[in-house]
Amino acid sequence: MFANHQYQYQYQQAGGGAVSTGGMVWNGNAWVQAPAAAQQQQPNGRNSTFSTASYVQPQKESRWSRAPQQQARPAAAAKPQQGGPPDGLKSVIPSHRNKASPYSSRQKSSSKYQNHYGPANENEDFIKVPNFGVKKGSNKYVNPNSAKKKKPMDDAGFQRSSSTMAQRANRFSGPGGNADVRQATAKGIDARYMGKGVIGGSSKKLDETDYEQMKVKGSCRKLEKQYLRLTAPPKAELVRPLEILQQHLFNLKTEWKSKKTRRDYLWFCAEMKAVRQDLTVQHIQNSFTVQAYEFHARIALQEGDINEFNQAQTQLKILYEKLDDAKSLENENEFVAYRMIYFVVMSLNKGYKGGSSDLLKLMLSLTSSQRNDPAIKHSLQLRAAVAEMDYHKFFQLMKSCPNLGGMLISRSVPIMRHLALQRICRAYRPSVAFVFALKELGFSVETAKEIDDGKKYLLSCGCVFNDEDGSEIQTKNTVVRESDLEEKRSLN
Amino acid sequence: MTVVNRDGKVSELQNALNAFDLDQIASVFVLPKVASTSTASGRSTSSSSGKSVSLQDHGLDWSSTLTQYCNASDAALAGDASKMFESQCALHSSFHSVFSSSQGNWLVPTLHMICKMTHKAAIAADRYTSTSASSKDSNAHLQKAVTLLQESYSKTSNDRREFKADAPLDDQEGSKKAGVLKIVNELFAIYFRLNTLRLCKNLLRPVESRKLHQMGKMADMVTYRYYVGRLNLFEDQYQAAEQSLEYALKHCHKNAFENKRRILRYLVPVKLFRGRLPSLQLLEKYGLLEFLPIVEGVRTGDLRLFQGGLVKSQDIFIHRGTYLLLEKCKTVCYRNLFKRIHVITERHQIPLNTVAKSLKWLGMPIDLDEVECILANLIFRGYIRGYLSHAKRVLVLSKRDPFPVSAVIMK
Repeated sequence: MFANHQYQYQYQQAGGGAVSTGGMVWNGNAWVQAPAAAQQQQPNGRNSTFSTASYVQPQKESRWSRAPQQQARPAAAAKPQQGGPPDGLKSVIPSHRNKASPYSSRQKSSSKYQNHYGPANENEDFIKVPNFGVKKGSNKYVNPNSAKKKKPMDDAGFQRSSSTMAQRANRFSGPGGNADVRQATAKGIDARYMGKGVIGGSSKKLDETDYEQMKVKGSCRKLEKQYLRLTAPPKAELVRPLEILQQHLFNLKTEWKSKKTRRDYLWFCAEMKAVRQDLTVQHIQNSFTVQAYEFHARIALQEGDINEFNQAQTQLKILYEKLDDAKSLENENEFVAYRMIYFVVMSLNKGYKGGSSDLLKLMLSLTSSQRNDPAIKHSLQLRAAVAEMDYHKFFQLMKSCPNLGGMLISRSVPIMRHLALQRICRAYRPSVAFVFALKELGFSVETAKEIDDGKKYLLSCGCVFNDEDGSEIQTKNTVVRESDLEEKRSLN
Repeated sequence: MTVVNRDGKVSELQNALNAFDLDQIASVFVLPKVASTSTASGRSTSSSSGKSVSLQDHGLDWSSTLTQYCNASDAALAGDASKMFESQCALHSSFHSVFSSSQGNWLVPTLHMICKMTHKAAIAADRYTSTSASSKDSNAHLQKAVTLLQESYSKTSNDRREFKADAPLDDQEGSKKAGVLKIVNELFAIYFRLNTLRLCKNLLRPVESRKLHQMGKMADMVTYRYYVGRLNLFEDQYQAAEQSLEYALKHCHKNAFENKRRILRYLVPVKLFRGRLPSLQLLEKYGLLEFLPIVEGVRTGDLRLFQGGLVKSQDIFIHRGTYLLLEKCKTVCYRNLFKRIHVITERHQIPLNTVAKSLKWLGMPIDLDEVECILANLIFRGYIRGYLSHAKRVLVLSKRDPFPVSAVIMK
């Protein structure tokens, strides 16, 4: 028996393959030819401690062996050594060890013994050693520094057995992991809606309006909810059912009335939007929906939020047309009046290109009972006054505006004032008492302070006053421009 | 119950095709009027399609078109408007394929006739099925008709051949574009009925860019200008509206009484706003009596008459979209009123009390500040030359031409 039990030391170059000693190994005394049986190569880069122990045990499982693949790789990278023992030693070496070194690429490995350490087939040039009691996945060492190019065999060491894969996947099974990713990808979740997953189903990209049209039965019991645009189909557990919404709206209304302690408008707006969203996705359209939208419209008006008001009133119009029970329609006239005033305000707006068709349509749709309703009658008069530029009547009407219409019409006050002042300055010559002008412009002139503020406004428009007592506007010398005062909204 | 004679129709079409009389071909597809339900007997065609006919001619397959036409006629005679409309739609679509595969523009009159029939059928169907007042449902048929007509429009306008305006409509040579204007007019009519005017604008551009509105039959051009005038009116472009409507009126056939009346309904307000009053005879001849009090009021400055007339026919005017324009004519009315006062009192300084008194006499009491406001507006717009004095409550008029006519006419 060959010096089997002698430890063969095999020196390895750091980072390199096996030392090219010509197949000779140091047996402690002398350089001898490496035995035909394979030495287990140590993984590259490892030196000293482990790399030296390399004894061969052809048939037994060795505890000392490293992960076979890693060993195999350096083996693959190793320079193929001369095959076969040198001739001189051939007689000494037992025949079964006489075969060529497994690192020899030229010689076949065919032996009586099952060559565990030989390549699985001719085409491989590294050794596939079975997993000797090595814990699965425990030895993950991968040499990033291997200079030699590895042939991409077996994913370069990446184990693809199902158990290993499953174990790897399990590492990502916590929150924010696999399950959530799968859910979050649009392909996954949308496939269940709008026929996307079906063969021949639509491939339309879904947007917020589509998500809102999906019907859902709500089950959330929490009262408050943060408003978020729908970017995925609505989840039932986040949508509040009708009774919860009713309770919530009642709470909101009470909170709005208690002006001292209530939160700011933006919070109310967000809450209302969430309520509206919940109503939309559950396709609830009844008198409660009307209430919700009316409340939102009113608070938007009070805060001067025209955009929100317009959204709410558009929806209200649709609801009023759809529903016909008395409870839903009890405030319809009020909102018809608001619509009228809204169009009037819009028509005064310079950027508005819509023309008068909306106004005409609205007027046409008024029933005779509606025409006699005080709010609507008032709004019709307002419209007529604006159409004729009858500023006198306009400001009078504005003082007597029913409900919240005043908030709406006050938006057009600056421009009406400007136009009215133009006419005044053009028509009255040589001068006009400015207090009278202020009255015509809708300013209140009760107190001295108000008169003073009014005068400031007139000055900001370029009015020239007479020298004696400043009580008259010299209309001849005045060229009216738009006021450059900051505070333009108030009625004073 | 009468049914249409299918074989008779086949031979009728065959004869027309043989004779190659384009109008005769078109007339084959005229639908009978929808019988009122009282004259139709109880038996109605239970199956949606009767016996199908077949006809091939000129390399085109008329079968399905003719079959559907017969179905539609049957339905019409039986008084079933919606079924008639369905069959008419099927007819229209199958005719599209016939039309596309035909060479040249000899089928254009037939297409026009079919478009017109679709339009009429849609209106009839809507009228018969309108139970609810909801505006969406009651125009469902018309909206379907819109799609069909839009397709007809694209078929005619996308023809690549060059369009020669004066060439007669003949077989193989002409461009299908000859048919565009008429279809555009039909579409205009529908859009106005549906009140979706923004869709009209999409039609304007291609027609104007190819100058199709200046070639072709006079009838089509007049109709086109009429609709364009109405569109301008809607967008407050009064000058352009006046031009278009005047053109339409001038070139309208002298016997087309109804059409001229229609044009005048819109032309009179526009002219009134520009200070031109129609004569009494004109209004009487065309039966435009709703304008009578208004015109009289403006002429004499009679505010009460004017206001009364406006309110009385308010719904009509709102429906037509001319109400706001007529309101603006109130300014002219005021101007004339003050002019009268001036002429009567023969003074250059008119105390506002006088004005107030006259208004009170008219039955419209207005306080002095309001009067000042109205006068300020008139002065600002140049209708009156003069100025106001608030302290003395007097309107001072210029010595020279205090009520310039040019201001009114120019505007």
